[in-house]
Amino acid sequence: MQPDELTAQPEVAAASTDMSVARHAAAGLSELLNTDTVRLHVHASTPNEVIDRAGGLLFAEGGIEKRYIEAMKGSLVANGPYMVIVPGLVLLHARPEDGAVELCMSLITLDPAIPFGNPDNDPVTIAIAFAATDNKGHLDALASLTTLLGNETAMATLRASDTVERALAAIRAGSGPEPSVSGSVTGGMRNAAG
Amino acid sequence: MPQVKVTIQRGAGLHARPAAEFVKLANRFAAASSVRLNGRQANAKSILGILSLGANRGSEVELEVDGVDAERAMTALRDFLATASE
Repeated sequence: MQPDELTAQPEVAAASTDMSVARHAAAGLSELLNTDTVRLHVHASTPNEVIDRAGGLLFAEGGIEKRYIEAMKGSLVANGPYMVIVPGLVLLHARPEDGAVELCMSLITLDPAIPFGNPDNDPVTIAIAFAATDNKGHLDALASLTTLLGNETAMATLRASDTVERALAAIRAGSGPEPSVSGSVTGGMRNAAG
Repeated sequence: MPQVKVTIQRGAGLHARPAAEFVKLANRFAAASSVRLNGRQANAKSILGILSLGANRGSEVELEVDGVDAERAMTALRDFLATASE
């Protein structure tokens, strides 16, 4: 990775071949999350059920093998509450070699909220599951999520969405391309000084 | 602005639990802090930023700290990364 490319001015990067990189990263979330991979008001009783539901969407898409769902449950046991990375949101994933078939992502909102054991960030109302076939895809997916999760307006709209279309619109609105283009990852719930 | 290079020895790197603990540590200080790897920079106080850096054990990162308690912050953050977990 050339530092020069990554720190190029957004307008220069957009004009160059980096546009394909930007489009890939920006289109990432909006393409991965669609009417087949987003479900609202999912009812689950336990964290494992949440994983079954979110993972089931990935499996139905052909993005993962069945064993990846079990691997995500194993990851939950190993990392547990740390996967509830920001208040109300859990990030579910395993490693590429655990049965990832292609880059995929699903998002479900939970009703009622489910505690995962994180005293600071419980209970969970949004579960995002994803898989990638290599480390780069994995990190790109995380970077795209960073943008969305750092956009408080988009996240609030997403949480309040009562239709999948509205949820997808909030995701599109919150997934702007710029941070990926500039290469600066300063996301987070508090976007203050950046 | 103090900068220091650190090779990560903590756990498997800045993922899951170590990442969360690192971010918690960074947030204890008033100083702003960031971690740079391969030309990408992440706010050390942001879990999402740190996670998407993908810093593994053995990665050499650049720590940058700026603020009133910068020295203490730098020492704490550097030691956290450089020390294998107990």
